[in-house]
Amino acid sequence: MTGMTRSAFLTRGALATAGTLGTAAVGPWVAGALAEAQSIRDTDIVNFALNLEHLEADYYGQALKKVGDLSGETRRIVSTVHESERFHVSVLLDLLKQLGAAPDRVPSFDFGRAFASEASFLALAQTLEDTGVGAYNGAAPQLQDPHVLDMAGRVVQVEARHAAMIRFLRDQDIAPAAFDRPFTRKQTLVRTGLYIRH
Amino acid sequence: MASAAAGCGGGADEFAGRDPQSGGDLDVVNYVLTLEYVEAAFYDSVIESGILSGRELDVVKLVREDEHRHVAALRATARRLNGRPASRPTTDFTSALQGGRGGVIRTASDLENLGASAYLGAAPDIISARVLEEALSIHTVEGRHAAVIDHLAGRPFLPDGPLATPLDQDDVLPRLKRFLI
Repeated sequence: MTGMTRSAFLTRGALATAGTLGTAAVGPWVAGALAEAQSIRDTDIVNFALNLEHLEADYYGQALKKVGDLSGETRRIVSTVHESERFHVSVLLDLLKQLGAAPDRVPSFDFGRAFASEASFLALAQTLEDTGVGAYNGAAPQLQDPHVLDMAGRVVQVEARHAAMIRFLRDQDIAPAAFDRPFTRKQTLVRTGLYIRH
Repeated sequence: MASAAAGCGGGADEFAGRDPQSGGDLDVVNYVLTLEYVEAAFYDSVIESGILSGRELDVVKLVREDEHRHVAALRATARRLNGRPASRPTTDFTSALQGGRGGVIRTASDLENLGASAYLGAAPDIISARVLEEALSIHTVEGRHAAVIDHLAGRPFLPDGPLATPLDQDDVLPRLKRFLI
C-alpha cells in the first residue's frame, strides 16, 4: 500500500465510515473507541499499556513475597506470569524509545488486602488480567503504526494466556465468553483505577 | 484447501477509499474460518469419542462451544463483506484419537497454538477496523484455550515466552493438512 501505513489507512477508513454513515456503521465498541480516538496517539496508548504492565508486575512481585499460602503449582505459574509482566514493561519502554517518546512517571500501587490469602490474590489477579486483555483489544484498532500493532498483539496474547491460567487455578471458565470484548480507556480505569496512586 | 471465496471484496462502508475488488479482508476471514472449522470438528470428535473425562472434558466442552461460535461469527462476517464463506473442509481425526488421552490433548495443544499464531499473523493484514476488532476478540480467546490446554499437555503455557510469535498463512495451512481429507 503506497503512501500510508496500513494501520493509518485502517483508522482513516473507520473514521471516514463513521463520518459518512454515522458511527452505527462500525461496531459499537469501535464507535466508542473512535469517540475518544481523535487526540490519542500511539505513544499515549503505549504509555497507558505500560502503566498496566507496571501495575501487574508490581502486583505479582508483591504477591510472591506476601501471600502466605501459595500452593506449589500456583507459585510456579505466578512466577512465570510475573517474569512476563516485567518483560512486557521492558518491551514497552523500548517501544517508547523507538517512537521518540518519554515514558510516564511510574505510579505507585496499593492493592489493599488482596494478599491476605491465595484466594483473594487470585480473585484480583483474574480481574486484572481480563482487564488487560480488554484494554489491549480496545486500544489496538486505534494504533497508527503497524509495528506497534504487531507488538501489542504479541503482548495481548500472552496476557490472555495469563488470564486463562489464573481462571484455571480458580476453577473458573477459562474464557468469560467466546469473544474477548474490547474496553475503552474509561472502562479499563474503572477496573484498575482503585489500585493506582499517582 | 479452501480457496478464497468468490464475490467482491466488500460493501462501500467497509472499504472507504479502498478498491473493494481486492477482497483482502474477506480472504483473511475465510482463512481463519477454515482454522475454526477444523478446531470445531476436532473437538466434536473428541467429545463424541468419550476419551476425556472430568475437568479436562469440561475444558474441552467450553473450548468446543467457543470454536463453534467463532465459526458462526466469521461466516456472518464473510456474508456481511458481500462474499461467500469458505466451505467446511472434510476432516479426519482418527490418528489423533488413536493416541488416547495424551494424543488428544497434544493435538488440541498444537491446534490452539496454531490458531492463536495464525490470528496474530493475520491481524496486520486486516483493513476494516470492525473486522480487526472481531479478529482481536477471537485471537485472545484462542490464546486462552492454548494456554490451559498446553498446561494440561504438560507443556509450558507460554510456548513462545513472554511475547507470542505470529505465523504466516504459508506456515499455518500446511500444518492443517494432516487433518484434512
